Amino acid sequence: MKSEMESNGNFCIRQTAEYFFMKVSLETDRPMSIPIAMMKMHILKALGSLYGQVGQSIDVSIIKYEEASHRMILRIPASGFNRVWSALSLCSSLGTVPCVFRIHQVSGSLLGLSANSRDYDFHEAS
Amino acid sequence: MAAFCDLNVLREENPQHLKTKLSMLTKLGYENFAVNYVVEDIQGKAKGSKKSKEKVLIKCHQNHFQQSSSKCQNVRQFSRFTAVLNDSLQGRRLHQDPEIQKYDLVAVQPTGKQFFDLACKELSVDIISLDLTQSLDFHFTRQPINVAIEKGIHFEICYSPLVMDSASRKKVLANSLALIRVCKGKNIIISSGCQKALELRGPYDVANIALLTGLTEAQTKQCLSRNCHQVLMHAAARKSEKGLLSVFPKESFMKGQTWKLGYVREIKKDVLEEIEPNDGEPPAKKKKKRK
Repeated sequence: MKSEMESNGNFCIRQTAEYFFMKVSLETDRPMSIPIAMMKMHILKALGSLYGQVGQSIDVSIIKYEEASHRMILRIPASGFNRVWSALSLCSSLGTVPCVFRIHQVSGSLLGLSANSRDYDFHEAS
Repeated sequence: MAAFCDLNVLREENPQHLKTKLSMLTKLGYENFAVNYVVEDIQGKAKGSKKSKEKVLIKCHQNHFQQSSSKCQNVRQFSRFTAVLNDSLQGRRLHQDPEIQKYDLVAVQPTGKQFFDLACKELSVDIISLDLTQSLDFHFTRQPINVAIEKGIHFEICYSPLVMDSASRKKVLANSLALIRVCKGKNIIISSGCQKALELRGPYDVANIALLTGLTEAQTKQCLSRNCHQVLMHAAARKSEKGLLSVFPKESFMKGQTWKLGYVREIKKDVLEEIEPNDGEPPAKKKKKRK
């Protein structure tokens, strides 16, 4: 990946992103405890139900997981990004429990997930 | 113009259920939504206890306003009437019934080829909403759809059956692929039509799901925002028949637009002089004098 420091101090990467990062949380209608391995399995199941074996071959990895709130950060190869996104948003149940994957943020770099310009409230910050 | 709309929020008997849906919608970032009232048989159900129920809706909406933060200041709620078309006489009733015309949006759900053609060509409605979960017994043809597009009628795709189960997912995807192929991605709106709040998805998720139906990325966004605005404008134009007049407060003019106010002042002077004919002269002469 080609990257360079520009004269004004900005760091920029001039290439299409290799990986996309996604901040996701799982909402269920009743409290559940889901360990990280189970979560990975559910994601793969959701992928499999919409795209079959080709979908399951996409290399999705959970790079951070908060078990209490079911929030996680996923790393997805750019080629399969749209497929993972649509599989997650079309997933409506874990076994018999109704659930929904809420996609909060999507970014080409991990740093992009640190702040959210959509929710940012200028009045509160000042 | 990226205000997202959901023009199909099914009305619930229990206002609390509706309220949870609406609050979920605002949380997800939708700004305009239409509460949908579906009627199978117009004559039987159109009249009656409808008015009182509408009031309940508006009330809970206002309550919701007070709780919410500054984020949903621009939220607007509309009412929508959907009639299931299985009788060609019903189309005429749609036009004539003043109760139905009170709704902001009027939609029809045709159940067969002849009713689909009728809705496209003859009825003045805003939305044609087909039930895509069943296999349709006709093929979409260019000609009636082109007429509908020219008239500004939009076709609706509901995404809640996509979320629900895989059997209806296949049907909806196949039908909407066929529809989009014929109308070339024009005049399509995507809305929820869901039963539970858990079935709602965020606007960007929905745009991503719509990629499956063969739309381009720009078109999917337009299906959720621009096309929905066009539906709302079409509805407003349908009601007024001939044209639109919008009134702004004087303060809302931008800096570059204040020249318009100059004209307003001149017109006002003329109008005042016409209203107060002090010395009996016709107003046309007065104008000449001033020049």
